[in-house]
Amino acid sequence: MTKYSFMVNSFTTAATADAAALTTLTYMALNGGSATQRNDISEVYIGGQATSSAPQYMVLARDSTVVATPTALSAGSAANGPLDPAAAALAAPAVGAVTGGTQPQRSNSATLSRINLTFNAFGGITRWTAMDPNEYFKLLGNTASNGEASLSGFTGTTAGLVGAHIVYETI
Amino acid sequence: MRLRPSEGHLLVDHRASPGITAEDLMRAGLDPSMAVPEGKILEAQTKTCAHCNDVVIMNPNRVRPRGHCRKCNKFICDKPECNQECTPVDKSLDHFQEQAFRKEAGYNLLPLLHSVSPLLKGQ
Repeated sequence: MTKYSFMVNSFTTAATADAAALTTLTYMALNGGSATQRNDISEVYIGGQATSSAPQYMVLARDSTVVATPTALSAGSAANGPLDPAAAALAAPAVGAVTGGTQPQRSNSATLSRINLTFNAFGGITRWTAMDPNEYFKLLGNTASNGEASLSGFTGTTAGLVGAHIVYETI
Repeated sequence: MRLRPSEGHLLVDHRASPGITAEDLMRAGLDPSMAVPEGKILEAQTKTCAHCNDVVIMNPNRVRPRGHCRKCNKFICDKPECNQECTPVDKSLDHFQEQAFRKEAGYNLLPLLHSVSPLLKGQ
């Protein structure tokens, strides 16, 4: 299987509580390409680009409301594609979104897994990598709450510029 | 840092950053023990619960035994629902994916799973 990377060069984070709509260009959401598709996230990297201290309480979480009619990524500022140039094109690739007709909402369920990536966007970087398929953060389908994951700032985050990528594998 | 293949890796690098202090984390209602202050770097092992898919940051100072499912022979987290019976998340995902395929194709549906992963309960 081919690994894919969903990357955004720069976006300004915002403090958003669970179960509240994320705002445009403050998040990265990865949504399954079909009702039966599985996507396994194996790496999340966030690099700080802020010019003053900006604590980030970034969370990779499942969404209880998925992004609807996602806006196509803007060339030059974001990308979502295979890491291997020889990869065969999928009929329904996973969708990377930074905004859409309906904005996603991070689930507040205590039983749904999430990853906390707290760091300071003024010179800090953070990265989570899974070394084994058993360790991947798994998505199934394209509906709530297991069909989409978003990377966004939790309550308390100071707005700051960051760049990030999510490496995943479509099964 | 040497990692075993069944582990994940978390890196928080504040060597060139004011970092995150325990006070910052307490103000946000988060665990202050995860502070990585100015000039410091955190490298930690992570493990993913085989039953609920939670990613757990390993505390190297922990002395209590860690969870382990003897049935699926994998790491499990401390949540009570993950320690009751063997509910592998991979098995549940395979089941729900197959069920979705069958629904789309109009085939007979699979019987309900006896035990579902906490991640997929209610689906």
